[in-house]
Amino acid sequence: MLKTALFTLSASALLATSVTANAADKEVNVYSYRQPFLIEPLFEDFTKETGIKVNVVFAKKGLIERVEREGKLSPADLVLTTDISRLMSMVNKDLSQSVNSTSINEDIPAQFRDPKGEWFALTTRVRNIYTTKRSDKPESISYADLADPKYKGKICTRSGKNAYNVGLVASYVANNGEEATRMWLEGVKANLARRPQGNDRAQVKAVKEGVCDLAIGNSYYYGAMLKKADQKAWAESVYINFPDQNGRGSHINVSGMVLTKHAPNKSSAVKLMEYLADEKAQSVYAEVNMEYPVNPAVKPSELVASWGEFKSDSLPVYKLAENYSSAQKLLDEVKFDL
Amino acid sequence: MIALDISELNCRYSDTNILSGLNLKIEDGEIVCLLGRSGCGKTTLLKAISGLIQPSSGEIALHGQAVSSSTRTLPPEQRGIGMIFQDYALFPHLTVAKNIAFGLKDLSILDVKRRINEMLELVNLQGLGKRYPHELSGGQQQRVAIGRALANNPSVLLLDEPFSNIDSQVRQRLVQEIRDILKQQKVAALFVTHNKDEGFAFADSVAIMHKGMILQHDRSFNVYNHPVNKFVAELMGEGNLLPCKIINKRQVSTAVGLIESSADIYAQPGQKANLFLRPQMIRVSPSFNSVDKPFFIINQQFMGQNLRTEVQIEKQILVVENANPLPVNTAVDISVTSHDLVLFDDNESVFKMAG
Amino acid sequence: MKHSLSLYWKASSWLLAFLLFTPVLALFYEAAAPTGDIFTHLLNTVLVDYIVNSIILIVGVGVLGLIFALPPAWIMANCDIPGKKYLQWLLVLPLAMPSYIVAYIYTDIFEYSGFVQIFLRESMGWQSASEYYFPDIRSMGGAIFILALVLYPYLYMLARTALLEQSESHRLASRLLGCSPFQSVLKVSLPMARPAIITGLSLMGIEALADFATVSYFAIPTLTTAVYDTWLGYGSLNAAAKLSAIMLLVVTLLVTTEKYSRRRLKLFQKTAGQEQKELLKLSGWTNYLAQGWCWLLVIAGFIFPCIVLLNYAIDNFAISFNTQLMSYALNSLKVATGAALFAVITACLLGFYQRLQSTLLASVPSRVISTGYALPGNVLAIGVLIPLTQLDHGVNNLIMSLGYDPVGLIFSGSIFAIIFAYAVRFSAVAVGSVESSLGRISPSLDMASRSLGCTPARMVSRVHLPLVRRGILTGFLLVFVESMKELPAALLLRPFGFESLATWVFQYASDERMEQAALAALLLIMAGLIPLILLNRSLESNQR
Repeated sequence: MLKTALFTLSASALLATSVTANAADKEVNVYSYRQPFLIEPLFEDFTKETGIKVNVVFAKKGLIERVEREGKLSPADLVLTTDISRLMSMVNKDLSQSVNSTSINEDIPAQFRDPKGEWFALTTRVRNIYTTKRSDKPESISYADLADPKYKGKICTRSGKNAYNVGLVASYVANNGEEATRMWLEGVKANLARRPQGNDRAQVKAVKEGVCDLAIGNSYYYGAMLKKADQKAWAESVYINFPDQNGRGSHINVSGMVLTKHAPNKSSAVKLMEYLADEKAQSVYAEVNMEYPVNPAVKPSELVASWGEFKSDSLPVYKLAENYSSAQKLLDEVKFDL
Repeated sequence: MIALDISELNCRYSDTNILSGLNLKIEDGEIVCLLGRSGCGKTTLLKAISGLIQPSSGEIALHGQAVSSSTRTLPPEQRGIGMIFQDYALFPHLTVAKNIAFGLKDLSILDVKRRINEMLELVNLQGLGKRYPHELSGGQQQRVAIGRALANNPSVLLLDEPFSNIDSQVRQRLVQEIRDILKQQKVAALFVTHNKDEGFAFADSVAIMHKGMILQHDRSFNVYNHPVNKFVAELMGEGNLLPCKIINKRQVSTAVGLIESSADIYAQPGQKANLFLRPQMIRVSPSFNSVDKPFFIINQQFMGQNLRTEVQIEKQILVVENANPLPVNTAVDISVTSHDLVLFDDNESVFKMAG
Repeated sequence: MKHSLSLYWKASSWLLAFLLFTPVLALFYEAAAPTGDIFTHLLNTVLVDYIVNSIILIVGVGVLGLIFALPPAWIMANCDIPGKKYLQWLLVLPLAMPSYIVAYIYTDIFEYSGFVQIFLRESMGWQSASEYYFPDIRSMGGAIFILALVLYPYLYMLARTALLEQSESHRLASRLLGCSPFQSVLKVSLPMARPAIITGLSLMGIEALADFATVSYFAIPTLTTAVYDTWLGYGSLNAAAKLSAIMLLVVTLLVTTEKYSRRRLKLFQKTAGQEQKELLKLSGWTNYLAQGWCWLLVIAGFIFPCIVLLNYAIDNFAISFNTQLMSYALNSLKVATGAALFAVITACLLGFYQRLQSTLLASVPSRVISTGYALPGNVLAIGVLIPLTQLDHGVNNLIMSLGYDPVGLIFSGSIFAIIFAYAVRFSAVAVGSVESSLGRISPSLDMASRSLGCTPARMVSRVHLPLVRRGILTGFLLVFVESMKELPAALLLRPFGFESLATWVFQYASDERMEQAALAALLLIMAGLIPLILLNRSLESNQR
């Protein structure tokens, strides 16, 4: 019996070795928080161009923690994230290394990258407020308005603990302080039509269904829904609004990338980073995923551009990360999700 | 009054008749032993009496009230029958006291307590009320089962092989004890077993069951000594079947000579028959007489109270009981104690009284 | 009877138990570290609500599970109803359904834009959500319903077996003592089946507590959510580990209390053997009710979701069909088989050790590894990563100190990590089933075989193993089915390029596009179906 057990163990270990043994060259390993639907075509194109194979592990949660545990043995070269907090968390945990590439620095404006090159944003996304077409499009709307009692029972949003919402709350904390944010959150909570649930699309859908009149959601979902036959009707039932145009400007968050501290395939990884910041990849981000590319040479897609120009919050994105923790705590304190 | 009256009962299982035209009566306070080999339908009969299965025809009545027929079956819980099972069927999740109180209804807590204590005393288990069944010995468990079944004053008590799981040393005492309890409670009881000795010790009368019918129901003594056929005779104990010829009303002739009967024989003189002889009715003694051709002992076995001796009679082996050891090959004479002879006809049944 | 075992065997039992315990140990170690004010903050804000939600969830799933599982278990054990031959195994099938798939499908049907509400609105002329009341599927009630629907087979299987083993005499005794059939069930059958029912309930409860996919889909924050939040949101593994440790303690405490409460009850089952039971023939409305209830469960928990999936799959065949599905399926099979083998070997090693030694100390290894069962998948994943990465670092340092090139993450970076994680999580299941079938082997067999000259090892291989074959098979199949469905640990631990059916399906489900992965979902269910049918076969032949 023991022999069998030992055999199984050693067999799996052997199997393991064969799986992880990788040629150091011509490969790059990516841990991605971003869903594969978008990035896989990009990686395929990159491989076609450079001959470098891209290996991906995709997960919505825990990848940074995995890199941390793996330490210097980590196979990961690059981590792709969907928001600033995770980029900063890589940096703060000393899991990143700086990249100094002229090509990247030319492609990405300074406010969208770390001065020392520890992290780079790839796209920006706005946290919009969608309003129902059952009433007129509001002249202007601000995030603060969401706490206005006139919207009682009319707002839908996803979980407060979602990174996009935490980012929004963090920006509110950075701009208005903790006390004001708490009161604002309490107000918003009191206005919710239902317990926070679902993703951003689900909120727009809820507006269509008459569950609520206002929904909070990222900009690119609007575009994505318009492009999908079965979701078009949801998007068409709402106006997209860029909040705080009379104030600080709309809250933006970024998706981005970090080169890991112990990247085994550094040169390939940097090539991939350069590729992602370059016009070709950036225009895919813009056209396919309806995001705002950080590369100024690339214009947003026609559809996205049709939503109009807007003023974005001048708060530097890394400031958001500094307020994440207090945003989390405030969301807990007002029991936003309960 | 008749406590249990079963008449012409038929029960079938997927087209096979398990019970066919069964009749049985039990008087109040009477203990009847139902004796039969396994597969004779005892279990089915118990299920029918308890109301678990419906008869295809016939009727079961308790104290004059019909409870089972082909059209109507009173559910078990409304019959007021008590039952003792081979595996005791004590509820393992309940204490002894709660097992006994299980069937008690419409009594105040105080009365329930009193009844439990009465029952514990009756079955001689005072002080064990708080134990769980698995903490008791087999005999104790069986007594709990008795107490539980009697607590509700059942009109009839059914006992299904109740002693088969009990050590033989304890068994005899327990059989007597429980018989005393039943007699004291004056409850009518049907006791099912395949062990005739238990039946004799426990019951007032014995009913022999075979192939779904009752072959004979009588006092134990009568069934033993006057079996209605060869099957019953052999079920009641070992015996020898000796071909014979009827000489007259009181005599038959056999290979071992003339045998006297203490009562009249119903068969006609000259008729051939088979004589059923119990071993203890035959006596052997060493033969010193050279005139008659002797018989020889071919085997002898010590059985405790007596010796089981096999004697070669022509082509047959006669089983005899005797008190003194005799070596194998001893020449012996055979004599038969005069008694009411049991004679079977060609159909292995007893000769009926003429007319 | 105590048998002297080779040191080899003892040592390997303890070693294996220790290995499987390391993730839990690692978490406890993390939990002991100071957590700053995060724990206090949680305690002051949401923790109590989360705990209350968890309790409501567990109790709800338990109660609904009893309502779902006990009637069919009793009916299958005691009654003769039409279609019983099929029903008794159909009733097990919801276990093959991953809860998040069922949750997705039911949400699709019952939400505002779902078929049911559209139909209601059209037939009643309502215009918007505000005009009528309809229960929200994405609610605590919904989560309880879905979880009970996919978890009840645990209770059903265990309770049915226990009820089948009850001798008819107990039922008849209770009837003759004045119980109606229904009272007899309540007062005798069910209390006697209590150990099996409790085991089934605790399996359901632990699965419900550890569930993340369904509650997060329905946005119900529970203790598991709290663990995730603290770990990933606040970045405090220590506080997360502390919460998991509390969860573990509570589960252990509950299970122990129950065991203690029935310490005097020995509900041993007499294996009555060939006893022919009188099956109840139901008639009239009871017959319809019994059949209806069973079919309703099968339809709601299995047939209906499958039909919906099939529908999705046909509608989206072009997108759904993927040449790589086969390789994903192969990955799923590989991992599930590996985990099941690992768990079963562990169970045998520890089970026999415990039986042959029959000391209190010898039961420690199997108790210890059972703790892994109560860990939510994602927490387990991090718990697994801690010792495995340590091991990897150790191995690599050693190799490098000998002057060779490092071999990389051979343990934590390969499918070994997933297999190990599943073994940690599900060994308890295998241990349970092997233990219970070992428990049925009479000790006199041990004495007989020893007196016939068997060494303990020989006794195990010649006598015990053949007799616990079914227990081993049951354990293997249960671990296999669970491993096929498991998601969070696979997501976090998978190596590059590894995609299993579950991860593939979830990728779409989490993006609310499961229609497009319907084919994979069906494959996943089918793959879980075969072992379940085998399992049920083996349980059934066990009764004969």
